[in-house]
Amino acid sequence: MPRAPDGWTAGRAPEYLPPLRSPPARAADGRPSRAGAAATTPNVRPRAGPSPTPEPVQVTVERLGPCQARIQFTVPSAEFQDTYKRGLQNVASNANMKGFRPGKVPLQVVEKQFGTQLRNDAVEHFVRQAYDQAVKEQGLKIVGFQRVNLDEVKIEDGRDWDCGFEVSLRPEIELTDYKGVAVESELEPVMEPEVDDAIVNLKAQQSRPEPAGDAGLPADGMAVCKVQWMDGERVVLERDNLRLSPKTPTPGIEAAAFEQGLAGARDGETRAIAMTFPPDFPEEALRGKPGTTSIEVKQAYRLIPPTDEEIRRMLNVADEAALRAFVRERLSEAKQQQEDQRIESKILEGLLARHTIELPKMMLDEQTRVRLESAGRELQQQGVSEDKIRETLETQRPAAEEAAAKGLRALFLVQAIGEREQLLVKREDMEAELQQIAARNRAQLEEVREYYTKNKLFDQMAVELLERKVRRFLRENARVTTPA
Amino acid sequence: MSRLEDLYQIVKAPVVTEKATDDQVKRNAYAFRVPISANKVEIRAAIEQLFKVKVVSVNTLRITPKVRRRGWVAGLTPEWKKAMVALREGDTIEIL
Repeated sequence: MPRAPDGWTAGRAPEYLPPLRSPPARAADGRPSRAGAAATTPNVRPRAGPSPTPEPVQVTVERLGPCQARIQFTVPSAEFQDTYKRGLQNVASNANMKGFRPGKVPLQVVEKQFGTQLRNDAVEHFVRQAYDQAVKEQGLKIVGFQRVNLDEVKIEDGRDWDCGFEVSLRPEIELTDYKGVAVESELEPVMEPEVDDAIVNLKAQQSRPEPAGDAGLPADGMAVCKVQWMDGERVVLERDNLRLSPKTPTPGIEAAAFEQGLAGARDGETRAIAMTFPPDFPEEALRGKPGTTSIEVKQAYRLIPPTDEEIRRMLNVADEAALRAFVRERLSEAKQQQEDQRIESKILEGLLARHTIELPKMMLDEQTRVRLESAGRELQQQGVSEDKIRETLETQRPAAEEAAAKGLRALFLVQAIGEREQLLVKREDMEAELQQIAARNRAQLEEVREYYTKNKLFDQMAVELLERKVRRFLRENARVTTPA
Repeated sequence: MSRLEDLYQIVKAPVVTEKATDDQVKRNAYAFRVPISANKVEIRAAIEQLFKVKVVSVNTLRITPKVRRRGWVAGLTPEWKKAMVALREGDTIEIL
């Protein structure tokens, strides 16, 4: 699956895609609020459902900058009590508690047990309402929002209460000269030596293994081995049934030494090769120290490439000339695809340089944080200590900020062009993409759909599809010239 | 009898049912599970000391064991005692 530019994963879907979700409120401990998710009564669904005809709350929008606004809203006490009581009644009528007939739980019991959650649910309902109202009335193009801490909302009986949260707005971009951008083509024709190399590679890929026998493992062969990494006599790490080739050394051994050490080994033979424990070795104390890699060859194979006739039969071509034509065509397609991508990236880079795009700070900070967290997780997996991770991340922060800013600017630019040119991502596009992913991974369509739904990846997919459409549009509308 | 754990030996758990809630609303009476050996005097004292309330009356009853069968094997549910404690008007106990 093509990768969206860095930092796009957390970007919001464009507004002509499925509508943006309302801001989820959050409890004081940082967990998303799930009002009524009480552990004690699994049969209860205490959700303060929205009012059948929602009364508008008083919403004011204060612009804090070109990409930042604050939504402040006031909720009349009666409105709030109404919603809260509706939630109580809803729970009471659905609750199934021990000691009570279904639907006969008194309101005061429900209130005692779920009061706080239902109150939070009601607050959340008004936060959502204020958000929707602000979008509708003021035409805000919101791309991010601040979490509302429900526990900080002070509500007193009989008094109207107010609350507010900040939102990031999509920057306004004045698009200029994005059509007809001049780009010089760097497409080169496929040369004969490239065709030769491709055929050799194809044969190597299609080779079949045969037991190497007494001749031992050839340098271009393959062996199934048991590998032990040893510090003196102590086995530090062991892996069984590894497929090794003398051409691909294990960590901590130089290529030439590995090939020399392993080539010629027969079935059942064990070879010991001197090594240096790599810097990411799981046992920290051994990193950089000398050790031994002991390789027991269980079965050595030599790789027999297919004959020309077999290759021709496999590709369904008649003769050598047809085979070369076939390979040349594939190479040409790959080069064209690469060139298309280069042109698209170049146009996009140029457009980014030409357009000034103000970025919402909240979103930029969030994107930077996501990048740093991801880098931190990688370092943690490599076994780097916490202090070292903190130090490294601090040095990486400016680069992460820059990358996040670039990703966001590209996202907003692509969205603006997509909107201007009506390059909509439709449901059929998403469906077709899902089918392609399923076919590529040899999976069922429903499995892929379930995976995407479960991991909430449809927004990301929509952004990727939009980007692809916009990139193609830019390329197709560019003036691509061939150098003389 | 004044140690807290001794008091909780008498008042084992509140009884939260439709009927008990109804009694609470109608005559400010709260229901508790108490040991079979506990008498009304002990229950009154325990409730008054634990919750700092004034008890007006105590009614008790023994829930008789019921036969419960699991296949061939028949058994009895445990016998227990329920105490309905009516409080002075204005006094309340936070049960949940």
